[in-house]
This record gives sequence, C-alpha cells and structure tokens, in this order.
Amino acid sequence: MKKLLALCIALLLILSLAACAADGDTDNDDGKDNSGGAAIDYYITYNNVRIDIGAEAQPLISSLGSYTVEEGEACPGGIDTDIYTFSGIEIMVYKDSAKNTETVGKISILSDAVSTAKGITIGDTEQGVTAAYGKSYTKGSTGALCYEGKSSSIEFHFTDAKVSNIYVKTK
Amino acid sequence: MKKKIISAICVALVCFLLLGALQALVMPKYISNPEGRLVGEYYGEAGDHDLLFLGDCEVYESFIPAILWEEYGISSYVRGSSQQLVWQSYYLLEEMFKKETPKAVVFNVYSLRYGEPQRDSYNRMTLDGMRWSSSKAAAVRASMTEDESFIEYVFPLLRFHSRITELTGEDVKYAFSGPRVSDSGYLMQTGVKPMTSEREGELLLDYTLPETSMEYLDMMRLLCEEKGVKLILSKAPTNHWRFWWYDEWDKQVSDYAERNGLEYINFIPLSSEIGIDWQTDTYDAGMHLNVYGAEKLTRYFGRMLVEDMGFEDKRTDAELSEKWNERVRIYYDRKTLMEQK
Repeated sequence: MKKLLALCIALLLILSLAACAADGDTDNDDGKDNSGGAAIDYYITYNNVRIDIGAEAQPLISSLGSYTVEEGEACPGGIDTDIYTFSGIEIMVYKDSAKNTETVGKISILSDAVSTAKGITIGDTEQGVTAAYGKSYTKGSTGALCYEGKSSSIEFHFTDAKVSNIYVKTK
Repeated sequence: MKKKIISAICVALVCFLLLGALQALVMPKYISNPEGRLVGEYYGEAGDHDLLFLGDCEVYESFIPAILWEEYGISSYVRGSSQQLVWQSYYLLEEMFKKETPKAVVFNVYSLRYGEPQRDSYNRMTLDGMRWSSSKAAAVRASMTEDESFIEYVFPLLRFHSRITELTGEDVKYAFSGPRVSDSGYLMQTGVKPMTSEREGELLLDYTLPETSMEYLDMMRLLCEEKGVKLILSKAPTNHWRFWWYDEWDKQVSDYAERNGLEYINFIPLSSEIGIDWQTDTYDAGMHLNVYGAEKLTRYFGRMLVEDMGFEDKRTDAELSEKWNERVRIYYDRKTLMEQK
C-alpha cells in the first residue's frame, strides 16, 4: 500500500513538473539575417548609436537625445507599446510585463536625415531599394516591399514612386 | 486480491483529488486582471437573453446589459474576452446556442484582423473559462499557438505548474471560486484618461482581412441563419492608433454585410452623434470607453434596437424583471463603489 502510494506521489510530481522545458525564446538575430538572400542589417544608426531590433530599450532611449512619448496599452495579457519620437525617427518599445522586458520592437524612419544600415532613406526610389537590398522581397498589395529575416523585417512603403515610410521591426 | 484492488482505487482517488486541488491552486485567478474571469461568468446567467454580444475587449468595455434592460427592457449578455479571436467567438456562440436562442447576436468585428493565434495568455483568458464540450475542444484546437498543446488545456496543471513558487493568498482564497467581476459580461471601468493622440495606425503591407477570419465570420453567419437568429456586425467607436480600424477593412466588412443582408454598424463615425467626449469617456486615452462612454453608447444602440430592429420591451415579464432589477441594482452599487475608490 505504502509503495503504491509513493509511486503515485512520484508520478504526480513528475506530471506536475513536466512540460517545463524551453521557455526562453531568443528573438534577436544579432541585427543580421541571411535567410532572404542578400545579408540584411536590421538596425538603424542614429546619433552614432546603433539601435537593434530586440535590444533592451531604456538604455538606448536615454542615449538618443530628447523625445516625446505616447503610450499604447494592450488589453491585459498582451504587450504594451510606447512610441518614442525623436527628430527623424520613432522607436516603438514593446513592454512585456510577463517577461519583465522592454525591447525595441519597431523603428520608423521619418526624415531623409536618417537612413537604413544600407543607406536607404525617405525619398529614394524602388530601384534604389532593390539595388541595396536585392530582389528577395515580398510585395504587399499596396506596392510596399518587405524583406523578412528570421525574426525581423524591413518594410519600404512608397508614395508617388518614392519611399515614404520605412519600418524596421520584429515579426 | 480484492483488498489490493480497493487499495489501488483509494490511492488513485487520493492522487486524483490531490492533483485536482493542486491544479485549482496554481491556475491563474485573474483577480487583478479580471478579464480572464469573463467567459466563465456566463454560465451563471445563461438563458433568457434576447441579445448576445461576442468579441474582444471592445464589447465588454462598450455595451452594458444593465442599461439595455433599465432603459429598453432588453435582456442581453456580453460574452467578450481579451483579444477574443473570431474562431473563439464562433465556438462560444456554438456553445451558447446549446443553452439559448436569442433574437440577435452582435459580433464586434475588430478581431477579424487576426488570421492566426496570437498569444497563449490571451487564449487562456478565453478558453480556460469555457466548460468542457465539443465546442471547447474545437476552440482549443483552432486557437493553439505553436508552443501550446491540447493536453495542457485538458490538464492546465501542466501549463501552470511553475506558478507553485509564486502562489499568493489570493490563490488559496479563490482556488475553488472567485468574485463576480462583471455585470452580465460588462467589465466596468470608472477611470478617466483623456485621449490626446491624433496618431493613426501604421501602414500595412496588405489590407486584406485574413481568409481564415472571414471564413469563421461566414460560419458564424450560417450558424445564426440555421438558428433563425439575426447577426449584427458592429465596430465599437474607439479608434486609437494602437488598435486602428482601417477604411480598407471597413469596406470589406461593409461589402460582406451587404452581400449577405446583414446589419453592420460602424460606431466610429457616429461617436459625436452618440455624444462621446474623448476627454471624459475613456479610461485609457481612447483605446476603450469607460463606464460613462459605454452608457452613452448603450443608450444609443438600445434605441436602434427598439426603433429599427423591433426589439420588444420585456419589463412586463415579472420573473425576468425580478432577475434584471437585481442585476441593475448590483450594477449601480458597483459603479458607486468604484467611483468612491
């Protein structure tokens, strides 16, 4: 009887401890990704500071100069997002309270004073984008081009055949 | 031999009870995030509704059944949950139709933007509150993210066992039952945080609503048709950059509604007519309505239900009135209490 009880308790413990495995999803691809053909750099350099997608946000934010911030709370259980607007760029920060992390989720380039790691900026042409980033893109129904890596992507949106918006973001 | 069998059964029973108690202890209680309790609260009020609401946070923060009853004599329930995806709404509706047949169902269309499961925590807040049935099993299968497994829904202990080290007094207090957090599915918020941003949603690569979500919408339409229930599509009046409702999406829903003879009410352009003041009627800078905004919207919608859709005033039904008068009283008590905090 005692043996049987001990066996059951052991089983109970095993069962309750099972499925404990891999919880840490590493989302940062070190700013580079070769899966789309040409190597793509998923970062922006701003005020001589390199901003990587997935990087810890707060040390970066405080090193980039003055900004305004807009809060965007998620429904409970989701990820809150704050948008920090600097002169020339916006950084969307993902605040995951479950993991207690604040990371760079998206960078938007707002002016031609800032360019991507491959030198593309607002006002460039589609040919300029494909010359820099190659032909391995997905074209959206709006005509925007998207280069996707394992965990990050870069999007070029066009107005009147010129780049109007650039988003570097986590997928 | 007989003794051994009895012993084995006893041991199995003890283990079963221990596991059950352990599971009840480690399951999230959703006291500080009460949204996780909403789906389960329906069972206490199932039946006798003329109107059911389904959808994400935009329904449980926008429509107030107590007001619909008090002003128009319409018996309703809001079965909303955080980021309720359209296939979850479909299976919740399937489950509710086993318990009651309302005159109409209102589905909030924002979730049509999602074509695939998003996040385990949101899934849990919708699915864990459902009682086991073929509808729940199908909802779980349709909702699981890559990291989830069906067995973890059957035995939530497998998912939440790590909470054993984080248990608080609340986990013990509410292990087997918790407080009622909603008023017939409406989750009250009395805070005020004005909307200050005029930012719009980010540009998208493709504005086509996902095929999967439109398929489930169609399944919902057919299910309603089969039951003789009117399906009303709605979009809550909130339009914050974080949860932007694009004109392109609006057109697709409008076209779908027109093709299928459904009512689609987009409350965004009606917000001035409804009387919503974005400085006072939102608790989170425009993402959701607070109780003051929700009361205005509910009164406006109630009038539409009566004047345009032929809803009857049931306040002459003594039995129903008794139930609802108590719910209305609880609603106002909660409001007073929350305003005093």
